[in-house]
Amino acid sequence: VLYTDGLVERRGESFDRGVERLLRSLERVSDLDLESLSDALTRDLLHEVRRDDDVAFLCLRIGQPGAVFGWTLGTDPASLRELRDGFEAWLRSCGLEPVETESVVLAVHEAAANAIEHGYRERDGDVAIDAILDEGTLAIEIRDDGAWRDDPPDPSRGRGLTMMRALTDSMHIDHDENGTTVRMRRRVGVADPSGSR
Amino acid sequence: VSASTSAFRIEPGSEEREFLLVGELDMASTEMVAAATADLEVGTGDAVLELRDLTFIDSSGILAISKVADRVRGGKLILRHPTEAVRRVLDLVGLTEASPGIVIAD
Repeated sequence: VLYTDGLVERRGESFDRGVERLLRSLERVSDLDLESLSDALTRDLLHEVRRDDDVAFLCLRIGQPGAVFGWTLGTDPASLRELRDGFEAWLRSCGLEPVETESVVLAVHEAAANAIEHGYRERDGDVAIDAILDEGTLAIEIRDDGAWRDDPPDPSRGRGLTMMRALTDSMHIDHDENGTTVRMRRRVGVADPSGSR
Repeated sequence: VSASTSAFRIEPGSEEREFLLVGELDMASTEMVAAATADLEVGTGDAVLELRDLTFIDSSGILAISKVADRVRGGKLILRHPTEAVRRVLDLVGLTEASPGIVIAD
């Protein structure tokens, strides 16, 4: 981030403190695409602050290591919305069109909702979501260490599985003693086939 | 106030037996739908879910709507003005084919 001092300086406060605030904010939002990241920095650092100075800043990403998405979810259903927003931002930053983005987000949401609903009836745990976009193929993994393998099939979730199958090219569910892993793949249309920009 | 309540709300519409669904309906908010529509069982006739401000629905939300339809007596459950995103999900799961008591009205 290249910036003028107005981004970090506040009257009656040391300069270093402002830089620390910027670093903290940057750490929190560094996974976002640059446009969302700029919005987040503006929100974090400039809202509700009386500014005496003009502010200009420039964000760039150097040596982006391919298109990789990682997310960890607790078992609170309300956190699904954050997953959807985060995954959508990543897909859009990879160049996916809105309607295709919506389909993939829905597929991942359903898989994560399954893990929350059936994986953790008895206790809290994490659901890990990883996605890689390579050469126009999106590969997604949703893992939990819950015990839904022991549950009888629930008719109410059948519709979710049907949706996941319909929204992807392939969908596999593996259960073992460590939990459940859902793997989905889908060919996607992206502006730049490498998925970076 | 949790994040789930700010992401979704359901409120009475301007007509009798009409409800306005706003935001994102997922497993975090389906109980709100069940609670808000409980009184449908008291009366009879068509009921309306106004969906113009519903931006997301998942399989739990579809199930919640099916349960609302089960409460409607002497009429249909009309899903009015679904957004494109919601319409795509309704079509994907074939809700109206599976539930004759539900109709979509654009």
